[in-house]
Amino acid sequence: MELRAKKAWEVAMGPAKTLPMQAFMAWMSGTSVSIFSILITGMILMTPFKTIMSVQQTFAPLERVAKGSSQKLDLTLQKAAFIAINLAGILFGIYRLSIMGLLPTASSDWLAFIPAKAYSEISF
Amino acid sequence: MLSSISLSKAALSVTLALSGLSSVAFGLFPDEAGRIDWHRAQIGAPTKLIPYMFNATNMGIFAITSRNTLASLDPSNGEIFWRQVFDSDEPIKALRVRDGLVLTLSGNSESHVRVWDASSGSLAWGFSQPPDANFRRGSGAAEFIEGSGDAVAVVGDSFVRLTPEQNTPVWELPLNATASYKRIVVGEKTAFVVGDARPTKKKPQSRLQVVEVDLETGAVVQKYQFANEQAMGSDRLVFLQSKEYGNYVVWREKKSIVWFVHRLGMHEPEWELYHAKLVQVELMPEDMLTSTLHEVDFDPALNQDLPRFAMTYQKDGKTKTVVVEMFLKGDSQQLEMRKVAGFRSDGAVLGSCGIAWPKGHKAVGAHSERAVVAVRSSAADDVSWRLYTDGKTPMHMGKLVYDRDTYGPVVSAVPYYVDSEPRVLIQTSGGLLAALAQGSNAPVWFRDESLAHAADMAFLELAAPVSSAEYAAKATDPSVLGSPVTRFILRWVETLRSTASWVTTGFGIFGPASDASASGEAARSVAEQMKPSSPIVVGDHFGFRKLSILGTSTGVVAALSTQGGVRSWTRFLAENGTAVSIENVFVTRANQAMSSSAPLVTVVGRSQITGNTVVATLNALTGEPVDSGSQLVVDLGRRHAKVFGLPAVDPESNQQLLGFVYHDKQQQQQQQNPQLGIWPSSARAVRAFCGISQPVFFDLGDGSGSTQISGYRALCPKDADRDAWAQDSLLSAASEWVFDLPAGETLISATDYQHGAQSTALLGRVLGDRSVLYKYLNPHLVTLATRIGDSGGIAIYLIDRVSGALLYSTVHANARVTGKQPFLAIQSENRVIYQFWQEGALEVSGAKRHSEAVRGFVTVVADLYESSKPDDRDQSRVFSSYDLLLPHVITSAYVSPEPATALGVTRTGSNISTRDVLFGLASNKLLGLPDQMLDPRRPRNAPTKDEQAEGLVQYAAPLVLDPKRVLSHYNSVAGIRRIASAPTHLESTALVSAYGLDLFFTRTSPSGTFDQLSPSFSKVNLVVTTMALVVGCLLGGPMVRRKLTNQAWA
Repeated sequence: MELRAKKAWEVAMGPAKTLPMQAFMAWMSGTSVSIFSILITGMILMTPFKTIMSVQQTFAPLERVAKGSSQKLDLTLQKAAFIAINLAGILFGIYRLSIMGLLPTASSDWLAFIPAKAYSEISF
Repeated sequence: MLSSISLSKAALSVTLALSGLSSVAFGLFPDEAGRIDWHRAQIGAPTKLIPYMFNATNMGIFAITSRNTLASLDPSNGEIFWRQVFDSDEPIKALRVRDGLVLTLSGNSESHVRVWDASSGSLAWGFSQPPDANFRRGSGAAEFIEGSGDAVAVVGDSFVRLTPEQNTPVWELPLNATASYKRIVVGEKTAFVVGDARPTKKKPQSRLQVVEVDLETGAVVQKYQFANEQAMGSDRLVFLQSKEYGNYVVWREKKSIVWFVHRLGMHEPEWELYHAKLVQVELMPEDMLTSTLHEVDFDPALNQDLPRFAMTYQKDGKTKTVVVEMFLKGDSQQLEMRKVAGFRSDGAVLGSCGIAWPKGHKAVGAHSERAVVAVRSSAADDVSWRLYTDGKTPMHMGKLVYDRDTYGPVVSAVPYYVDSEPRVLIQTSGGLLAALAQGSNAPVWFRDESLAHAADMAFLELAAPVSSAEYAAKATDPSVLGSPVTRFILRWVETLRSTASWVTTGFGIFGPASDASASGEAARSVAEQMKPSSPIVVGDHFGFRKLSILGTSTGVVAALSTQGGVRSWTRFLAENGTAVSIENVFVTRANQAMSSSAPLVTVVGRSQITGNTVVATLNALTGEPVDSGSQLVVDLGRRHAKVFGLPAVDPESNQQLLGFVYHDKQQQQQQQNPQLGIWPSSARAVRAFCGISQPVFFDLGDGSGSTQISGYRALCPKDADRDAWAQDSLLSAASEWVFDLPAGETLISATDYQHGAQSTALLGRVLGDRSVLYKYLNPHLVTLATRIGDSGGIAIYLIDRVSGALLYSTVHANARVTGKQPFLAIQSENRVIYQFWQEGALEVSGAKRHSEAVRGFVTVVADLYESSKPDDRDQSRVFSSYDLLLPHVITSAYVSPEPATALGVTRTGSNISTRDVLFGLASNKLLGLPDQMLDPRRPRNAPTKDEQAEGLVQYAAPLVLDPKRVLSHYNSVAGIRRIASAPTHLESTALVSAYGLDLFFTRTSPSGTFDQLSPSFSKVNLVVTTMALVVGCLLGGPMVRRKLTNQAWA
């Protein structure tokens, strides 16, 4: 049982090892908006997202106590750590989006939606 | 299988071959130059025409025009041999042609005498007299001195003899301004300078003054006055010049039945009497009182023969003309006159050819070269001409069929000969110049010079061609258009038809190639017919083809297609036979595809007779009057100070309302407010005007020389008054504000937004850090430029026309604004651009921008923002001028290498494309500079990262006029006065038209043609490739299926 819990911690911490690698790739691809940097950023964002989605499947083999048994190990902590690490990955992706200027956070991003003023007088 | 491989190979090779072929075919495309743009080189309406054989074989028609142009035209086809465009403030007063040289005298305050080579138009030599304190306006004359190559001229207050050998006059004689001298008669040893004597207390009568001057020394031989109550230019006075017989002045006193004949230089006796009955027996005293005298030799100094003049008189309700020749009888030296020709000339315009041939090159043939032509309208739509040399019967005659409603009546005629064949050159008041020949009702050639006088232009959108089938159906069976299904079918039939024609013409490969063969110089000069066969009513899919409707000061309204400049219609507007001077053109009802009502154009002008405002409304597609029953040209009975299109529609005629501001000077003294007239004027129209939700403001006093600008608000009448509205009722206006210029300052010009120049797609300017500077967009912005005293310097004021608030002001102390160095300004979005001549250090409101002195044309750009801080915006949703929001102004100055004569900006449909600032240059070019180049935010130092991200490049004072940006490329577009732009259906592309003397039209894409396929894109390649792929799939599909089946069995 303990072995399983230990194994589950290993699985949970797994994504953390890829984070430095992703950061390095992100740094290499630069902050300019190009096809390569967008691909990398997309990957940085999508991978943790997909992983979070598949959190149950990832931990399912470790949760089962025995074959056919309905009893389950409590891996909530590991799962939470797993999700948190992946969320950190997503946050890193979002940070990359923002430094690339792809997040609509500046006033200029909403400029096109500002209605033009009406004029209360006309003159010639 | 083998066969299918060979088939696909064959398909591939066919594809390759076809693509190869197509690229060869596209290689034949001519350059787009001259295909999307067109240019009309013009000279303007001539004030004097001299057909002249300048050497043994060559003849030219030399012309000076009211658009300050000297030109030589080809007598056989009317093409321009050469032309010289003078400055806009330099009218040409005299033209003489002699021995391969052309002499002109021009200028108002400064006089210029120039001698040109007649065959090339190059300047042989010239002389300029600086402005003269004693200069009398109206003085000025120039003549060649026979045999010496020298010239004499009245320049300023002096009479000078000029020679090509030296820059200064051989001698100069001050004339002391006792007369305005208008004519020089060169005799053998002396010259006579003749003019109107200035009336004095002693001699209050108008008399002619003569100064006889020795040609060698410039000394006054004698000076005297003669001819009581006579004035130069009177139609009862003629000059006769002859080497052999001497020089004479013949006149008739107003209530006299005899001719007074004065020999120049002989004032004892002052005159001899001559009875005209000796010339024309039938003349009775009462006929003589109706007579007028005309000179018939247009270059009398050339006359080696017997001097002639013509007299026109009325007898029994008929007009008759006699040509009189003067001679000296036998040895007695007794002056005699005899009749040479006599004919009826009811309503005729007379013209004559003097001896316009150099010695030894007289016209050959049986006829005399001294012919008199009488041109008269014989029917409603034609004129006939008769050429008389002697006797009663015309030597030659012919006629011209033309519509006087399109070009106006004939105002002058000049006969000439080409290879012994007579030609008659006629000019109409509308500005048509046509050469007529015997045996044809059509002119040999013609030039429409009215467009050189264009005062305003409006663009009319044309219906897209997809609805041309519907358009045709509308004319024949309008019920077809009732159902959307039939409309759909009609459109498809049209599409199929055009596709079929595309296929039959070889997929468009051969079409442009055939164009290419005709794209020579001749094809580019706009070919046209006297009367266009059918008006242009259908446009194109992209909105490139529109009608540009021009109104000219010669009374002509002309609609030209923006494609190729093809004329759609022309109409001549006259009031009691006198051309109306058109000032504004408004499209008052737009072209609506499915509407049964025709689009309308309303032209506003001034009557040349009364000076009153006149209005005419025409069908914009055909040029026909809208209401054939009523009078076309309506005299409003008042003079307007200002006219504008109102945002309201007359419910009756469904046309846009026009507002006229009337403000006569007398009223102004009494401090009365101006009044506003509405056109069309009716009770319902006024109700529509009062229905405009916003109050209407206007300003006055924005003309040159004004010292005060005032603002007014139009007031709506009470309901009762509205019902009692009469045709000539006016609305009153309330005074809102007065803007007094500082003492000593006078207004140079006031500039507001050109139509559509204020609208924008983006309300702010995105900076490098993604923050926004919000644009200050005020449609009421007016840029005032004033002259500060006499010391030079100009002040710029940006004011609000509604509140009269001063938004920004600056002073350019070293600016100089003169006629030759005009001030130009334009407003576009939140930007004001202006240009002036600078002498000295460039200062903007006291802060020195450049330490070195600048001597040149300076272009200043001022951008207006809501705030100096990014992301700071006035939050109100409605802009009111009374909120007094002051703009933050950023300025920058650039030094232009050459002056502009007109400024403009491009306009696109949604204003998303960047704008090009258009410069009409004095060097006859039209240049488009991108907006970014003039950006005042360009950093003075190397741009930072944020500035780079904003697209800013480092500031450099010289404005680079890149030759690649010259929109007019090799065309010499002379005298650009205005630049107009119109959007197309493609956002990338704007139509641009420059007019003034010449007319030039092109289209431009300031941001590149991002929404069009490039011309090199091969549609044939695309079709063939797609077909090859389909064939490949069809052939390859069974093969693959067979392979898979075989694999399954294996």
